[in-house]
Amino acid sequence: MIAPATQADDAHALHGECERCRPALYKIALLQLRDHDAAEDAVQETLVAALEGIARFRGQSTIKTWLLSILRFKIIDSLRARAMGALSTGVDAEADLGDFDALFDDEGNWAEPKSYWRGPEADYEEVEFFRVLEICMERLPENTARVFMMREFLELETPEICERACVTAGNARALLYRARMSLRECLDKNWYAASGASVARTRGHSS
Amino acid sequence: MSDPLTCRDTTVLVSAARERTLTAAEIGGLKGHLDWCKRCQAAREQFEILFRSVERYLHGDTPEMKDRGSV
Repeated sequence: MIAPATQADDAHALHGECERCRPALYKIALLQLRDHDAAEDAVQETLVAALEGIARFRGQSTIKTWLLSILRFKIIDSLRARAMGALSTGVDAEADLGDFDALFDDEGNWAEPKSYWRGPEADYEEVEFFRVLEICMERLPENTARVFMMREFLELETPEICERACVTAGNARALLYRARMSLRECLDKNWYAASGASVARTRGHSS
Repeated sequence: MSDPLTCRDTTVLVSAARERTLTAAEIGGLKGHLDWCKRCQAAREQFEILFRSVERYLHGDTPEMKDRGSV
């Protein structure tokens, strides 16, 4: 039996925790929506919905995970209802993958020696690792980031991505490829090379 | 897919596999290439770390990150 005072304390603590997640929610909303006002609105609606439904938070996940799932539904709703997903100009340039030519030789083999990664291990490493990942995601070109987030955050299937983003299937595929290749390269340069978390191994190379 | 895959082809397939089920021929080609190509084995591990990390980030499964402010 929970005393009423404890319930009130819990509600107060949950309220505070929701507020503390606001910057993290805003960053993810901005990656998706690429518009300050739209991102703030989506976060505000998420927090209002969360506080109204806080009795439904059962604590199986963290507050942040729960809030992100609400944010996901809010953004999907607005994409469907308000047709907010259409990409801006410059899609064809972002879909031109010629800038990855430098990574490969004429025969399509990797041109650079590969580095071997290991995952971040200690907690302090993880904090830094996710900060670098976040910066790498913010650096993605706008249309690339939006299509990538439609797939990886909203978990939309390709036909719906094409419909909401008003983009051809070929261009959607190209932007998703650009996002993944760019993020891999960005982490390689800014986390693995910089932190020494890349384990340079010489054994086992066949070429 | 009779032509052997290049390393570049394998990166396209590893990306495509996030959206769709690869065909048997694509899976066969990918496996065949990864069997011997150390560089692509390393790249595939990198992509796997990347995909797992992006999932964790977007699901809020990250350690406490203080707001780094505006950069």
